Amino acid sequence: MSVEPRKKRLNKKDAYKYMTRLGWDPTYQKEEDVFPYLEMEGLKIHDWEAWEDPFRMTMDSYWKLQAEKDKKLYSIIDAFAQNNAQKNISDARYVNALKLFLTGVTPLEYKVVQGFSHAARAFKGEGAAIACQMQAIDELRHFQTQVHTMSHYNKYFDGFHDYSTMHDRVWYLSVPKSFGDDASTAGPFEYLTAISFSFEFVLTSLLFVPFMSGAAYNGDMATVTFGFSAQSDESRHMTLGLSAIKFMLEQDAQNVPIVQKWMDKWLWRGYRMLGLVAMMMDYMLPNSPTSWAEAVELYIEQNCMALYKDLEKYGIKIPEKLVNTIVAEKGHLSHQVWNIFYNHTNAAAFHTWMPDEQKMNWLSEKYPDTFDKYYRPMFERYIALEKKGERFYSEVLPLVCQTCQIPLGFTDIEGGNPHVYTHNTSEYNGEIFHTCSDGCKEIFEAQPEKYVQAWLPPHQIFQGNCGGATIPEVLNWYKIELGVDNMDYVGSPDEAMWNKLKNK
Amino acid sequence: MSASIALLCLQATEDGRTIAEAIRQDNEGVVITNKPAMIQIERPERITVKASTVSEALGRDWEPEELQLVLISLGGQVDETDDEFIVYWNN
Repeated sequence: MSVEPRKKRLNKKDAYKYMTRLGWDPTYQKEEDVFPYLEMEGLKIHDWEAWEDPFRMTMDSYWKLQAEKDKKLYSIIDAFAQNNAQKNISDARYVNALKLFLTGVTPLEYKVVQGFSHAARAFKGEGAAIACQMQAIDELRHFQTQVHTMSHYNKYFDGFHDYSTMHDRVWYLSVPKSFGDDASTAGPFEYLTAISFSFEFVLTSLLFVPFMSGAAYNGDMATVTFGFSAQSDESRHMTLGLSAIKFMLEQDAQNVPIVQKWMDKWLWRGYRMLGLVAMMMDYMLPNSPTSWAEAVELYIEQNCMALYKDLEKYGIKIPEKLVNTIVAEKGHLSHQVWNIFYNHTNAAAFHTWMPDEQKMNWLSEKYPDTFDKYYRPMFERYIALEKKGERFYSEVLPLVCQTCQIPLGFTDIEGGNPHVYTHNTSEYNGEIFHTCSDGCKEIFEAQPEKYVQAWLPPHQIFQGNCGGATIPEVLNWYKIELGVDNMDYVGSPDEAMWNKLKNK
Repeated sequence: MSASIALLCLQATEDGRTIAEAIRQDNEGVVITNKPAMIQIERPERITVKASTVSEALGRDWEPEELQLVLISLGGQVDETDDEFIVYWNN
């Protein structure tokens, strides 16, 4: 088929320049009063004009493309609801992955609307300011489309009803919440490194791509669509992250060690948070398209390493120690996190369960060196207890890491003792603080005055700030309904609803 | 160490599949894999999406910025012009 010759228009580079370089130098006020955060982090910026968006996105294209994306998404959400497509998912266990997403990730999207609006205001250069503004609007779209999409499941299943209160209060949701709080209380350049670079560029593919492929694999058309609709923005955000890093590194050689420190910190913070995704991929999806270990191989070992190699010319070094730990843990992480949640699901806003034989065999195949040796025997013991009517729930509060806030349930894998729990301690002002790993210990010790202020859920419960001292009282304060939103999937109202939907 | 792999993940839609085929024509040695709901495109160093080839394949005028409508993820740096969308590594 022949096509008309492509129309003549203002070329993209010029259009970008005319549509974005609309700022001015202040004369009524001093520059340092208008942009008070520019110097506080110690970075030196000589030429803001050097900041360019490789997508060369301008407002006119932006509205056009985003409107097109939303139109596609909302027609699918409508079709999903009209066709009762909740009946077509692989199994109602799958819905628990959505509950974790809605309570853990969606509120973070809203948090970064605020963060990027703030960063946009803080930067002097128009290129940086506009890219941050667009990202703030993108994130608001993600927040809204996620809530709209998942609201359909709220009609049939439990645990979706009060995601924002839960995000603020529930123990495991302090993991993503503290990540967002840590980033937004940093300066604007560290914020960009945290969110745009480490999270968006290095790690977002580990969150969205497996999650959405997983949704596709489990018959959840609506989630696939919001996910990929959001992810199309992420590609732009990833590019903003890389532009930001290169900009900071190119402006002044003195910036390099500062940026390296932030990159290492936020790679580790992001990776720890994705422990929740590891368990989601390997355990919460009834049909898993890809394992956590495979995702680490593609996105960390291949893509992330290519990226660091690209930055070597500026003097950036691969954080070998952190990467070695990530690679060493890849055969263990999802199993250990699922184990923590299985034991504490009496205080969670979603259900857990033991994998069936088919799933166990899949895990053996994907984790030939670790699953049968360390985790299958443990899970078979849990199953035996369930069969005797003694399904185990922990009645004690876990000690959590002062930095990432994950319970200290990781083992000494690199030390060759994958069956022995491990943790680190640091002393600050005469008090002992616990961290889960070398990565978290280093982050704590670089800024102890920040992390000693962390709102640690178990400590807060013991201090009497969470509704009471018993699990039912705390659940009530969490807005989790005992016996409905929590406990094992087997015997839950969700299971009963699923059987009704499937006429079982 | 061998060259870094440039990566594009596109939605497996009518447009996405057609764009992937156009990429195959213009990028020798590209590896295209079908994943659930997604097309994974990998090539050492660089992937070039040419607007002229995609327009020909779709049978309509197509701008490189429209790639964003089907783009899920990418690995590499980006250069977008009027005629091409390039994802590349510089190492």
